Amino acid sequence: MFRRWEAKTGFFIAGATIVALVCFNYLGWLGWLKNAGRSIWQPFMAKTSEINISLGDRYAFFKSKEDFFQAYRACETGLAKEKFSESRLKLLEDENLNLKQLLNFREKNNFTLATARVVGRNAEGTEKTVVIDRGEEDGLKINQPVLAGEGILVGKIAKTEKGIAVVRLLNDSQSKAAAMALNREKSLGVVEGGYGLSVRMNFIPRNEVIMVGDQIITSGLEENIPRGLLIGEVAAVENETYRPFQEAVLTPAVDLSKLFWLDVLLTY
Amino acid sequence: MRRLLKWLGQLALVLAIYAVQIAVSSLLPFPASRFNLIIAFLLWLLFFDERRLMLWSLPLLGFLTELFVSTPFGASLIALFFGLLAADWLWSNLLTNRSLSSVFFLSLATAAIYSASFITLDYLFNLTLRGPKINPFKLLMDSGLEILLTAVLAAVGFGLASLFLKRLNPKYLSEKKI
Repeated sequence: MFRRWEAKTGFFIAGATIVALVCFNYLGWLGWLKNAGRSIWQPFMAKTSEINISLGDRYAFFKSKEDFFQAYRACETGLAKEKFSESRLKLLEDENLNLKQLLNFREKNNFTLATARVVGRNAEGTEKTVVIDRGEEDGLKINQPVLAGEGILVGKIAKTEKGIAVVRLLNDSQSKAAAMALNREKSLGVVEGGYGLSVRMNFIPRNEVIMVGDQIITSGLEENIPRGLLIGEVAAVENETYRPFQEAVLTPAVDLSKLFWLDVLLTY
Repeated sequence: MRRLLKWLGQLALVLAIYAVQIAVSSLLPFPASRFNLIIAFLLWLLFFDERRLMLWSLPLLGFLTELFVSTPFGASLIALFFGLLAADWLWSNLLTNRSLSSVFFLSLATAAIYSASFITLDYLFNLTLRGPKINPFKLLMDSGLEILLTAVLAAVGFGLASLFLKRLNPKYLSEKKI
């Protein structure tokens, strides 16, 4: 039987060990232990991350035949829209090129990127984060934007250490990014995570018209993040009369649960 | 030799719990991913009078948790210690009748103390270490589900395990000559 005074001594020793661990960490003496721990657990985390990606598809099942057909019809409509926008985009691209030449505008897109592999997912249930295999020695700093594909913002660096960094995804409840809607008014707002379940754009003025399907990009009104990185598109709009601002629920441009390779934007 | 094997077995158990926690939070869909198995495991050790194992696995599990989280080092570790310290005090002085409801309320209180300490420490660490700004109220709402699910898990685990455990040690009966 573990007696009372033993429990007190035990808690004292455990508390002292914890205080020592925290102090040693901030003195930089725990690096080797953390690196050893990470190198042991990283392969396991990478494996769970891989399984998670393959499982993700199985969770997204259809509840009924009607749901399936509805999704199929939405897909077909989306494809038709896509083709139309593609042709429009091509036209606009040509126009843009001509205008740039006319204005002697030099395209400034000299991003310095660090490509990183996703080696794990959130170890805590309340967080929506991914662990990448690049760290502070690669120039990664807190709040740098993290991109997927060709310029799609997926999150920001939340923590950097030697050899690893933790990326806070857009759907984490602590995530925030200054954004702009590609509507007529070019509405400004803040994209925030909705408790790991959704991504929302808040603080959109009520008098501005925002529609389902409008694309959302970064506004550039934030340190470290350039204008024009794609975030997603509007899936639903909530414009209540009793609220000073309207909100939009977004569909991220990339599936945040299926990230393999990411780019960290170091400078632009 | 037997003691060494016992220690190795206990170490393997603690590491397995951490592995399951990673799997739970990254593989299971919402809301099942919100279970905090580490707190539930430490509470089970307290409920079944395995305080010694609980006390040495506390810094180990806390340290392992710190390896892959976005919060500054120490917040989770210290919060886990505060939560377990409060749990031990409540279990010894207040919720002493060992019923399922006591276990549930104790688990609820422990998870709530852990979350409150974690949010406070995270906020303070970020303030002093100039980390990213956090919204403690949003984090508190986020933790609500974790608190509830962890309490349910700990209570259900205790309830199931108590079906297979002896409620009264026969040795005690013989000593008292009842």
